[in-house]
Amino acid sequence: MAPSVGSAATQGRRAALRRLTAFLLAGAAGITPGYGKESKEAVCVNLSALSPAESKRRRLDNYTEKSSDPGKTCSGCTFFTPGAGGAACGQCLIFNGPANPHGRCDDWSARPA
Amino acid sequence: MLPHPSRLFPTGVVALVLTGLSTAALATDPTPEVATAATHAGFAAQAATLEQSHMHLHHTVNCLVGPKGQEFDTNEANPCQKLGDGAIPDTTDATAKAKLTAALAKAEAGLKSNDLTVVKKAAAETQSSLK
Repeated sequence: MAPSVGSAATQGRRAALRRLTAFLLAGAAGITPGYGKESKEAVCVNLSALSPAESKRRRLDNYTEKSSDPGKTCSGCTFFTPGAGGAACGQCLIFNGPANPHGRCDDWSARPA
Repeated sequence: MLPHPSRLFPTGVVALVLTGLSTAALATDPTPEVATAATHAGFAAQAATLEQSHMHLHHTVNCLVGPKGQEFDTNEANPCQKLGDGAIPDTTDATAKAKLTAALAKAEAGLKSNDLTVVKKAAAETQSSLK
């Protein structure tokens, strides 16, 4: 016997509920990609919130909020000034604006010892 | 009654020496500006795109001429803004100034070209001139 329209709708709702429950559980366990660790780290620059010129400058210079090389981060760059009073974000001389101490760009130059 | 001129002479000499010393102390050492300009010329020589190469060359030019220079581009960053008034204005030695001016000309030539190969070559020459 073919399933009724009502039973198909019920099964659809159950499947949706199962997916929702799985998503919520995964989120609570902190295993959702991009969630957890990153949320604890400061975001210093939101490229989409910058003016087109500022955004372009950072894009051209390959600015990233998190350097792939731990030995070459903004905090060790000659153009970086740490945030005052222990602030999470500092200032970059190249961009004349905020920068993440863990970030990096192509203008990275080692801070003189 | 005014003191005899011969008594004023040593005082004048001391004043002149002190003035000279203070001027020398106040003069900015252009070495870090030249080094930074060279570094950015190197970035331009290694850049992947024309826009990136031009951007780094602008940094070089801004470092060389300083904010009061005719070629200074206010739309671009000045990596040397905390180091002085520009490598060329801060250089007093005529030979060194001429060398920096020649390097500036090479960087400017690079900025005028839209051929990445030409720009990168000009950037490499600029970097060599600054070393």
